[in-house]
Amino acid sequence: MSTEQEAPEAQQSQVALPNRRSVLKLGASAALGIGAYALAACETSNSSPGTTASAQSGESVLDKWLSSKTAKLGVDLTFPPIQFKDASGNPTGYQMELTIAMMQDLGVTPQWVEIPFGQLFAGLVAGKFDMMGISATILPSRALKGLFSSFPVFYESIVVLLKPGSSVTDSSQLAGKKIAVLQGSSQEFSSHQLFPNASFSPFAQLADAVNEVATGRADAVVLSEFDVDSSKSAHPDLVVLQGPPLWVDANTYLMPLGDYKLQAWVNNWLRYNATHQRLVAGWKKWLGPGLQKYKLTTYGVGPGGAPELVQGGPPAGPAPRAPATRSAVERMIPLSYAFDWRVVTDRWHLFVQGAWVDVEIAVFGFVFACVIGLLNAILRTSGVRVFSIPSFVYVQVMRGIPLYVMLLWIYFGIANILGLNFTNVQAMVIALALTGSGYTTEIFRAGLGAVDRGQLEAARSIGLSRTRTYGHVILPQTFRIVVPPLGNTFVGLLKGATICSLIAVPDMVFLANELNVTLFTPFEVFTAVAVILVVLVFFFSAVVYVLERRLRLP
Amino acid sequence: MTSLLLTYSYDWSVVWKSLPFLEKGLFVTVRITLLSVAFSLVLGLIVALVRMGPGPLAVIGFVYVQVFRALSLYVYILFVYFGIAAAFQIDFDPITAGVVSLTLLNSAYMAEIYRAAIQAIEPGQREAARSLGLGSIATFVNVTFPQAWRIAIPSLVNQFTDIIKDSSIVAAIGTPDLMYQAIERNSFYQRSFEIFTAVAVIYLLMVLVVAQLSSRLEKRLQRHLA
Repeated sequence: MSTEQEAPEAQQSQVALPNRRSVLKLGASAALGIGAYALAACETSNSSPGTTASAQSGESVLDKWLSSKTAKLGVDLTFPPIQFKDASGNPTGYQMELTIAMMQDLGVTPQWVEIPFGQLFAGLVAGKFDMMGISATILPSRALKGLFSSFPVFYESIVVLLKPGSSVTDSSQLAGKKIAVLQGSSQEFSSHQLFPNASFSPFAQLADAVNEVATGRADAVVLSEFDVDSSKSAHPDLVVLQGPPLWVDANTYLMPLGDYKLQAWVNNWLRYNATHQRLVAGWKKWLGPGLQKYKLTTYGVGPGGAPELVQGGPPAGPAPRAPATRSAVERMIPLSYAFDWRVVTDRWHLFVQGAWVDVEIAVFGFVFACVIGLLNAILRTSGVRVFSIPSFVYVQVMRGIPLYVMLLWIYFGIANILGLNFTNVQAMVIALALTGSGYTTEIFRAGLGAVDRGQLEAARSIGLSRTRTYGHVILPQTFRIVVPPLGNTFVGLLKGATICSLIAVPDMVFLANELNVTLFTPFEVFTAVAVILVVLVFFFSAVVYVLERRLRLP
Repeated sequence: MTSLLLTYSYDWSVVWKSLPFLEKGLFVTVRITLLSVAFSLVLGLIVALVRMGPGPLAVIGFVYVQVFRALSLYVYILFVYFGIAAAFQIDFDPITAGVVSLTLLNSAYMAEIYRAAIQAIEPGQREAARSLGLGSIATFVNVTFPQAWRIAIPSLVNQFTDIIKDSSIVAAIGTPDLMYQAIERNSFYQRSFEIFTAVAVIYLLMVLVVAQLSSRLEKRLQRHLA
């Protein structure tokens, strides 16, 4: 792959046809053109002028806020009690109280841009918002692509929740176990270093990671002390691993790289409120009840930004140090997007492995969908109402439910009520098989119906049994008819299989998301994924085409 | 297993408590779906005409159809919402990104539906119209398209139901649609079975209603053939 030399000119239009890259560019430029049209057309949606980090034009985000009186803040409000929506849908929690107070002090109205946590970093690079309205753990890799405030908003003590009935009593026993984490969180990074021999399942939602442990599919979930209360009240069987926290992380606001004016103001605001005890008081208010219940150690942010023991169990060793005022890796980088295709080319084999996962899942899902579909079609065409009516209803239901809903319903919903602990791969295969079977039933039904009834009568009249009639006469002819539409169904399932990363199946999209969280290169990785998918689909479509020609009756 | 099924204490009240959120999400889902359907109906026809046009135009139409039919919505929406935005500073809000992605992907399917329908019209019709002195545009507008449209309706409505279902994927970028509201309420109540069952029923109802309307429409359009 020599794409890296071409990357800077990717925006230029190209005349020559039709090598693969130009095909892609065509797609991309078509996408851009039509996108602009659609943007103009959906004026009703709350699109406002570009928020792309204003450091480009030399103006600080702070100046923009003060002149426009609005601030776009990126948030994920699914983390009670730090940041969540209350019963009437308003943002609340420790973090949101602070952010809202900060905006009030500025006289600015916040606009919340909600993005799942693991995608917030791609969102910052993509200019979806001006600043993160919630805190992220200060990581050296993140500091290369974004500017952290140098004053912490909260300290996060990392603890372990064990599956019901677990025999683990010490964190050292977690080696070799299966650990669920929140994708893109600092727990995900640090757990890898702390438990090198364990296997990991990162989830887009923390509730899903906790659920994974509650159903016994994973041995433990590594999470923050503030998530323990809500997790325990949803799943009382979970066991809190006693003892000191595994480690403590500093979390704070993340801003566009290079906007030191904004950073300086945020630093000062945090320092002022910390000296006025607002940070520690907020921590006690929101975490107090949960901490008392489970005897957890926790640290608030003290006047100087240093950790201050709030309450809970015995202090474990020396209190963690406050982060250095400015990370050594924070430096000015021009904000224009620097293409780095090596992110993809260096990991080409990983992308291919990820794609293979999608193909495997699609193949298994397809095989089951065919089996279910064929049986169902036979019931449907049986003429016996007791069979044909449920079969009809089944098809309507399976074709009416989105794959994503089906997937979460099977993996989380069914797991909770039946205690059926499918692995994430099994759940994806089942979801594909069920949605796919709605389509395959109709295909087989049409195929069975297309075989002339005289064939059946003739076979019966020469003395073939019902089974033999189907096995030797009807089904072989049906197969010729159904191969092309089944091929299309398979391609549809392959495309559907790409959502499996949403339940932590390590496919190619999952890999792309993982790379984004550390390297912030959404364009390169998603382009790679799109190219692989298009190539795969072209390949399978070609196979179907060849089969179709071969099977055609002379 | 059965014992678990019986001992699991269902709490359907979370669904009632979540209804205001789901309702808000439903409106977003409906808006995204309707906009995408409208745009892809138009764009699909344009692409179909380009695809049936002369030489190089046909190649462009062909490539467009092949590429966009090969992409999955999840992959494409990540590419549009994060990838293109990061690299070219083209910034869509989540709803627009959803509409753009759904429109591009589905217009490719619709183009093929239109093309099949237009090609199904007997060439004699067009020749007759031309020989009566109608121009090629007038022929298309007054003769070919009205007939093709009737042939295309059932498949186009199928595509409509696909868009309803596919729109759930936009939740993955944080668009506050029905699915996203469900995921968020689930993180609040941690009641996945109840909440996702409710959401599945809502989507199912939407799809069934659209399918029902389409079969009525189809019957009306074919009345003259009876």
